[in-house]
Amino acid sequence: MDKRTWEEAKIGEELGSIQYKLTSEDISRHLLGIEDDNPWYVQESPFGGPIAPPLITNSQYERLYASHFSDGQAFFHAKTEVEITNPLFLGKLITVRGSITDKYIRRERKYIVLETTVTDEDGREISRSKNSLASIRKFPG
Amino acid sequence: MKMPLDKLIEGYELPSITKKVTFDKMRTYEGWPNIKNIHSDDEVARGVGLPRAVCRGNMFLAYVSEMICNVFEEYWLKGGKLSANLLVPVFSGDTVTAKGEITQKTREGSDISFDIEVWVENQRHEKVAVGSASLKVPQQ
Repeated sequence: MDKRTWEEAKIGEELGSIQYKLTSEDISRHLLGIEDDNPWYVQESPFGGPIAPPLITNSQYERLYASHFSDGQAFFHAKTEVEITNPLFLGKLITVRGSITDKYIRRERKYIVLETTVTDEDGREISRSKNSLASIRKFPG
Repeated sequence: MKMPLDKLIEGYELPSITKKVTFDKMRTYEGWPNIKNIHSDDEVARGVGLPRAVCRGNMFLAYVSEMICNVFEEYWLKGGKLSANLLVPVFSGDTVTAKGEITQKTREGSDISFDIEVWVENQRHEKVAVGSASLKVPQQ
């Protein structure tokens, strides 16, 4: 698929979905990076087995956007609104679905707003989020 | 929950969490060297106009999540909500502290609802992120 740029993005545009399986290596990498030693992420939790750290799927809007648009690396993460609906168990196939809900220019930066939902293979909603991205470069005029 | 509900009152300051951001941790988090992006590679970062690789916002928002989870445990991990504006870039070498304060505690049906003001500061006491969180705990 030919990728487009921010200029060609449309408000209301559905971005389809991506799927992947969260592995124990993904969890380890995430936990090492954030230095969180909560035992529930590696052994039994109040929800049964070990669960994934709650914000681990909150960056997936980036993959979804990058699957359609070629300027994904040129944005800052400006704002997040995330609801942790249910814990995510390891080894589950995850589906990330999203759409563009806003797009504007403010203070010479290009903004794009993406709403995504993450569900597991059992159809359980894991999280829903709304993330605003702001262009790193300014575009005066 | 370790903390009794009656101790979690409006004005209660959640125990803060301070972490040093290192390039190693940023790279590990991103999956470098398989993933080279503005968060794990200085050259890629400079290519888009940044001085060097910048810490991913979700990385230090995870410190906010950890701070809340330490107090509210499973009630954060199912039903928690977080909203935050990311204001200032964070780079390797920065030390950031996640802070929070309960601003509202109300009864909603059979649950107790908590609103928490949250923010993250760097070592220069600049707020790098500000926002709010909310969750519900069943009345015990």
